Amino acid sequence: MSQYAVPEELKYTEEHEWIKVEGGLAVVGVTDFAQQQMGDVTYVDLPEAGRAVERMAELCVIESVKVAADVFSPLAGVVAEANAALGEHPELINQDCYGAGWLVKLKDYDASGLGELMDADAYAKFIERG
Amino acid sequence: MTLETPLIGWHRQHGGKLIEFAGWSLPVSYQAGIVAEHLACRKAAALFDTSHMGRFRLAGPGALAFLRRTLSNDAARLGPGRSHYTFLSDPEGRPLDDAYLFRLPEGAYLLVVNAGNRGQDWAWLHGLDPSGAGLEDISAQMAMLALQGPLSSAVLGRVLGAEGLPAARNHCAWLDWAGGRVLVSRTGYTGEPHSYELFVEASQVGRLWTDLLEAGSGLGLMPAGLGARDTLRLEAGLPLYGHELRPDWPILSLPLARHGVALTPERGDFLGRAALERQAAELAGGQVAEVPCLIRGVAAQERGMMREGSPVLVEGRQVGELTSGTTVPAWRFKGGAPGDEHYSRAIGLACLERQVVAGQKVEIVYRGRALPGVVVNRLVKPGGNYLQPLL
Repeated sequence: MSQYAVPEELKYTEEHEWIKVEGGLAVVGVTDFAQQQMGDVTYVDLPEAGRAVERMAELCVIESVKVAADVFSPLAGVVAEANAALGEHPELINQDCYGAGWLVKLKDYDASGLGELMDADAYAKFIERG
Repeated sequence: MTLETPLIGWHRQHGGKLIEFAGWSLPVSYQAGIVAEHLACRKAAALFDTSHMGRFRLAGPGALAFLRRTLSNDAARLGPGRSHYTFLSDPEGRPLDDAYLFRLPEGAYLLVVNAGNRGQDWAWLHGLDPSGAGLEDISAQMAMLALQGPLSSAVLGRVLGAEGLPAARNHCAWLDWAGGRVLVSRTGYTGEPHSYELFVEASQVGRLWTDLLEAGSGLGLMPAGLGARDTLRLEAGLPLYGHELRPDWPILSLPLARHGVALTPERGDFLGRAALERQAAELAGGQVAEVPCLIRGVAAQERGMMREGSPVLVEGRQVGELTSGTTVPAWRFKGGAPGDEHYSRAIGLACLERQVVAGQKVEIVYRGRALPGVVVNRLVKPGGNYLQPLL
């Protein structure tokens, strides 16, 4: 049993983002491994809705007491919505990184990029290798 | 090779996230995390392993004379069982280190220095002819803990008994414990009105640590790591060597340094005196020469982030930069006491041109964003048993 949760149904990047396609939108967050590495999240600099992002461009910045972590967009697309709840409660990323702690929903995303992402098995092996 | 305190085994077994700091392997936090540990200290109490600090004992007949000519504060002001803030100043009035000097109840002196400067301080003091001072490094034999926060007196009372605890800041006393003794000092690095530092034989520190945690377990006491130690001292406006104090900056750039510098006529000459007198005269007279900047508090007025190195602007012009900064958690107070909710705020200490004073609106630039903020004299205010956040 790994010390990091890696849900089966998600796709993953080597930068420790997760992606879930849901109702025509790609939901993006950071993984349990990432949030454990960062420690207590105290601030999230979120993008405006409507911003177009390239694949692997900076999507937002997650700040913990000790470090700043860049989050890169796993897919090219347009920001449909950012998780406003993180403004008041950035700790949601620590408490529920695969649920209430999601970061951004992308619309008009380039689905061809999905094929380049890791599935849960591959990502679990990736973080085990360190 | 990294150095380890006697508590390294406990830290490893209890989820301490070990990092290297000043050559020492110490927990940045435990499982609870920096935020929970910081909040515990402000509402209940927190226990820190501070054995990495350097501890020099001076018990020779020449100790007082040696300390009076090598440290910026006047050791002659200390009666038995008292302590004060002080500096190792170079001849130009720049800090080699900031330190705390204790006069033990039996008369010997204990100088506590920063872990990262211990070797340099030792060499410096030896270069100043300590013969007769009985200078020895007892860092390995004597361990050190910090117990800080509003319930620290209650926790300590359960372990050592309430009788004989030092009642006022900067007082210290030996208390009997477990067949040995503990030096209990009313000092600390969190700004807490109730705060203690404890010195005990290294062989006994494991037991003292676990006894304190057990005594405080129902009171909200948490073990806390270097991360919370840093956010707590930042919130209290206390300097960290290498950040607010730098080897090439004048000591009196730090307004708090006044408490560690004694320029009284009766004490005679000491290392750095002439330079420190020039700095003090400049600050009193208003001219700008050797001390162009002062360390000030900065608090964000909106949600955001600031970190060390962030430029500070007044109407678009840079007037300085942050020497420390991050987001720190704070309790929402209800009726003079911490409630159940907390929030986070971005705060910092900054080296700012001297004309920039408390109340000045500024912008703090971090990662391309200009965060509105204000210069403050302090980031917290003492209120009864608690330190309360300002802004």
